[in-house]
Amino acid sequence: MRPRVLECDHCGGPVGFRAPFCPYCHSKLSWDAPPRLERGALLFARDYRRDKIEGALVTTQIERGADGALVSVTGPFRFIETDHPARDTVTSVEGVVLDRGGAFGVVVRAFADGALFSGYVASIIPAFRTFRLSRNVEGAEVSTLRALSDWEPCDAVRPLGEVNKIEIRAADSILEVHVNEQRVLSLVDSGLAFGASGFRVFSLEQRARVLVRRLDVHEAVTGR
Amino acid sequence: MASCPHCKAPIAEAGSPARYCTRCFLAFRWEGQTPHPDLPEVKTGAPLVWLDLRRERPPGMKEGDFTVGTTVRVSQHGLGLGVELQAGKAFESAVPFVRRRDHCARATFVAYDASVVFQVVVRRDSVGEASTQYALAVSPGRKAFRVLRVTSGPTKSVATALLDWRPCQRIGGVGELVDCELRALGATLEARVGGEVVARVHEPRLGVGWPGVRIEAEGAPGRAVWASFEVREVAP
Repeated sequence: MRPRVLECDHCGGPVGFRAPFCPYCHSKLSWDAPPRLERGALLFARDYRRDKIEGALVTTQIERGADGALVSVTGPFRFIETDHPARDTVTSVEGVVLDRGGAFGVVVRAFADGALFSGYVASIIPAFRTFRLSRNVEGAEVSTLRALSDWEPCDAVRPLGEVNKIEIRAADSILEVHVNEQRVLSLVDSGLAFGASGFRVFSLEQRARVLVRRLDVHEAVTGR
Repeated sequence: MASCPHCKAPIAEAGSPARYCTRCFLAFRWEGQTPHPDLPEVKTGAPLVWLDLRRERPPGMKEGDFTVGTTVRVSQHGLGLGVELQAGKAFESAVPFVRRRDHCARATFVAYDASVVFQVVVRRDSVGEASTQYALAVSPGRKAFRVLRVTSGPTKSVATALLDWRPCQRIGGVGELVDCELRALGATLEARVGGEVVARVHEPRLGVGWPGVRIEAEGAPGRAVWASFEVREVAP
């Protein structure tokens, strides 16, 4: 079994990346460049061809079919699998955007204070073959974000009508974004450290449809 | 199978009792078959900011008396910075230059009305037009405190109580000086009143931000004096 990331070498306690000392045994820590992150054991998976998207927060039209959940939106819609919050995960969403204005993304470390949702969101727009990583706060007539990496062209994004898989690999403050198994971004951001995984669908113009096929959440482990 | 007392994730059994939750990284101590949170003490390190508000202002705050809109009046007072608030309004001050993950913020204040709630804030961070933060809220009127996670948008602010109102005899009443402190180390928040630990909570969600204070008046106008503010690093 490969090691979980970011454990104290001395006591095995969980530590933050670039933390100067272990909070449990007080050993001094030293750091190199961020380690590469890989998928570890599967924590949970949702196959939206058969798993339902339901609950009080589902406020948009969703049709479940043989190929997945067809989400039809005019504004942003997010669905969080709240039962499995974690810090270090590799979370991916697979989907097909069917209309020009459609976009979707993967959400990690999501939580809500009342109706205000917070989370990291990595999004793609297949029509323009671009992606963005942001920290969002939304809900209750609030919709705002901080772009950690604003819209950039990305050859790894497949065009409209094709299957795209977007993934965030997160271990403490180390974040990587992968699109269709290609690493397209890595950065360090400490803003959010724990929460649940899910997906977000939105439209740039009028109504757009996105077929959401599956959500997979693995443990994050160190790469070699 | 046992589950984590914080996030309810199943605790892996691998021969010996697990010491940490693999999802939220809460440390455990075991009593029989039951895991209990085992939170580290948070020690202070080198000073980063020290303000005696009898004779100086927080970085960036204007000198002299001033008002914020029509609802908050700020003036110099012999004991510190005097703040007068209309009912339901708040005054905030922060030190964004000290943005970091682990830090300790300590303030002293006097409330002159029971409506005043004073918050010492850590890990305040901005997200577009919104912000998130942790706060130790102290109410001399109630002689009680609570620990909050707050998400605020331009028109709406929501506080989630990580620890709801808890009576505390160390909080002097209205008209008395109160010394309150909130320390953040990793996923541990430690609240102190009068220098003594009154609460420790495991709260892993918000990772970084800056320290500050918030003074609010609940339900009726309120007056307070903010006397001092100190920010320190954490230490092993």
